[in-house]
Amino acid sequence: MNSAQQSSNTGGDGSTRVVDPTDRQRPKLQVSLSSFLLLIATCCVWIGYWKVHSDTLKLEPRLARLRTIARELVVGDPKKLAAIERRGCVSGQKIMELYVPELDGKHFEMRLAMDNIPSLKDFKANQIEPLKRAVLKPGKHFVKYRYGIEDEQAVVAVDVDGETVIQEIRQKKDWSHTCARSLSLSVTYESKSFENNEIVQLVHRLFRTEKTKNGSFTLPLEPGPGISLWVQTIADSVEDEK
Amino acid sequence: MTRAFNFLLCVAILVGLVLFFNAQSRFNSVQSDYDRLTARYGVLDIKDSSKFYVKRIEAQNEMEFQWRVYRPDGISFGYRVDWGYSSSGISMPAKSFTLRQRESVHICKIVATESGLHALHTTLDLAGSRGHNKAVADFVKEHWLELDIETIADGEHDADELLRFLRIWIPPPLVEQLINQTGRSQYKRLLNEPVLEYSCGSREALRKTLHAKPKKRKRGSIEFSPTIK
Repeated sequence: MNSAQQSSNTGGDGSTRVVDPTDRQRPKLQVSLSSFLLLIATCCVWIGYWKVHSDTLKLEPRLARLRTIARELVVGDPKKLAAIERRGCVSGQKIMELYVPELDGKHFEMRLAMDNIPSLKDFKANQIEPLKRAVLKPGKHFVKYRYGIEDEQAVVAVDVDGETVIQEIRQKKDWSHTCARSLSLSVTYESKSFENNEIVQLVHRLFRTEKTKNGSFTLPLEPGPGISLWVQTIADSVEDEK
Repeated sequence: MTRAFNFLLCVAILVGLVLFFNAQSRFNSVQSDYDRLTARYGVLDIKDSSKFYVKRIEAQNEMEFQWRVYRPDGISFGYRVDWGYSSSGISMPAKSFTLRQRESVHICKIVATESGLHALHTTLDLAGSRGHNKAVADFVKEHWLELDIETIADGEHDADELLRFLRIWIPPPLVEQLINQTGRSQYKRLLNEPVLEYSCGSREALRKTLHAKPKKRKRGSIEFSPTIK
């Protein structure tokens, strides 16, 4: 205690009381009942907000994990194309869910090619002449790709929301139609968003047309027959010219 | 002074209320999505990340089985389908698949066709295996509700354990009926072998059990038919 800042005062009973000289200048903090109640209400509202906000932050990663398990399409940015491959249990089928955004002066088109298909790493959409094409309207769509051999014919079909928009029937040739699926496709089991100038590869498979010495089929070194299905943006003016 | 203080508190309450209702509506939407998905896929309580966790979930039809599965870190994970006396062999999905997702839904769908009995299964990617012939396939389909179906127990499983997700047995009286119907006595081995077994696990677990025969029926309730020789 600093004795220089204190003065002593003697009471009537002779006792000595220590008084802080600054006490006389300090204004008394007076809080009215209304202020006190408002202060309580403010604390309650902000604590409530903090609690709900932190609960949401805890639940969101668990929901994201569940969405991945459920393979649900998540549209992060409504201005970008989003896609996911859904879980199917029928051989030769692939079910995808696509979100197609609305763009100014552009639209999305799904394209199928079956000739001169290069390997996926050499794939350039503008160098391949599409065999079939279908315009995708803005909104969410279920896309079902089907491939199978029916009556000695290879049938490739694409349904959008239950309606067949692309179908191609080819005579079965002397090649093996089996081919391992490509692991580096754009659309996978996890929901992804794509830039609007990106080529979104839905299906890419090459047929084994070359025969090895022991008679089994293998992939050709050059681009050959296969199935390539992709989505890309097209300027509306290009479509008008056609 | 008091008025200014009260005014500031009122503003803080209003701002807080706006934020609170926004946060509450976001929370409600997250919670309702979470509830919807947990109602469908259940909840896995993972206590030890070095073990498998399995929970059976409802499937769309009676010949389809689904499980929610958690896989431990750093394990090479594969599957195998055994058809009593033949096996599909061990299949290991690409590492890029197995490393990416710790949790997934496994589906095994049994389909009887002209070419035999098919087990279409989705561990991460769709795969299929075919076994037996049309006669057995038709028999299995016809007697589906009478077959003994064993599925893996829900809960924790060791990382080196073979996860026998599904085993379908033909009860002995029906095996006898199958033999009489087809005239093929070789089916008597279905007394000791499941007609179909779908299992998953590490490469080591799958390899170790590949030729571990015979797989005796575990349940004592099943009596072996003495008439079959």
